[in-house]
Amino acid sequence: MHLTNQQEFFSIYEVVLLLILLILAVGLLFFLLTFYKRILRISEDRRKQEYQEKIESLLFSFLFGEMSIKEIQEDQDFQKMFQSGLFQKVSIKAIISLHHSYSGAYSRKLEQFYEEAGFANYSVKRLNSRKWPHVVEAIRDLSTMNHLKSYPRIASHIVHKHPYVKTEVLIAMIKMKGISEIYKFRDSAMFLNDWVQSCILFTVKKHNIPAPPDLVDLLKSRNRSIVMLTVRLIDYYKSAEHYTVLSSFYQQTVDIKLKKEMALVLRKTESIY
Amino acid sequence: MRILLVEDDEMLRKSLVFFLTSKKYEVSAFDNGLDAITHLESSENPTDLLITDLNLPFAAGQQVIGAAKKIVDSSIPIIVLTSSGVESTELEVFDLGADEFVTKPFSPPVLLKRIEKLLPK
Repeated sequence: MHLTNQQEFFSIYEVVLLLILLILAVGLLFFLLTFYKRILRISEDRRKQEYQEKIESLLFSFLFGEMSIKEIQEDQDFQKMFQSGLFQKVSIKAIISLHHSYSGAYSRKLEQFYEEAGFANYSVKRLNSRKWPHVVEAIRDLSTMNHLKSYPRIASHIVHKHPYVKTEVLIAMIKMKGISEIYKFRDSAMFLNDWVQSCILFTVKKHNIPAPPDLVDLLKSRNRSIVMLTVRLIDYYKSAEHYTVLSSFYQQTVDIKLKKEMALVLRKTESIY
Repeated sequence: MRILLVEDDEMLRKSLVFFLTSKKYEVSAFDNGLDAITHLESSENPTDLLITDLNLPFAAGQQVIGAAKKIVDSSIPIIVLTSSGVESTELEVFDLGADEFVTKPFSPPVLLKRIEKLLPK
């Protein structure tokens, strides 16, 4: 009996010891993992810094100096770094950041650099990614850099299963080819919620996208959300010609929400004229 | 000619430093208003022209303009660089004493022309 108790005692003692060792081992494992991740992060940050400095020096020499894209591509460091996805990511971010700040010939030079130095290919490849944030990023980069060659591939993603990708495609299509792109969805079942509409309106405003001559035709759409977007676009463009047609649609429409939105826009014109 | 550039957008700041240096200007660049004000107030750092953004960390562009105007016997020409094309903002900075207003996105040669207009060599 005594021996059995002692055996039980030892077995409990062993279990406790084992548990402590296990906790220590797990703790050590987590510590090593965190340490390893930290080292990886530090190394990535260093590489990012190195890539950033390299792309800045080449990009500025191309923009403001006399360095050609061919010379940049012949640069040995560039050739080596170009193999890295991180370098391409850092470079695209730098190009787009400058593209936001500069206009005219400099903006076009940046678009040329993005295309001819090979960065556009990286974005095009990411269009096929299984991860939707990568697809959204690629669409955004290509459309911002006005890469018209990739337009058909971007447009083909309108049937993508993820709603964010669909929204990004629609915005990219408008950014690249104007508001007339909405005509393609005139009688589709695609629902443009208020968030999507505000994103479209923001893009139109930011990129100074002009109104197509037949904008008011979209008021005849069977898609209620497209009619709503058209009313909001009419409000943004503030063209007297649009208001006349909108006024006649206001009389005909029976949809309460649309009528309310149209009335709001028309009321503004009364204060204008 | 010494230019003080205050811009928090890193790429724009660095590219403008490169561009202006290539045009033989001496450029001191800061990414926030507070450091720029300290630089302006130091008698060791004479400045011939100030280029500043409006939305800056720690001290806004308006405060930087104010600091430049407060310097005794100072007539530093000021160019405001901003993404806001709002009429009221434009009027506000002119009231504060800015000489030129450049809206982003802009073309660097246009900025250079304005600098040359304010700083004849």
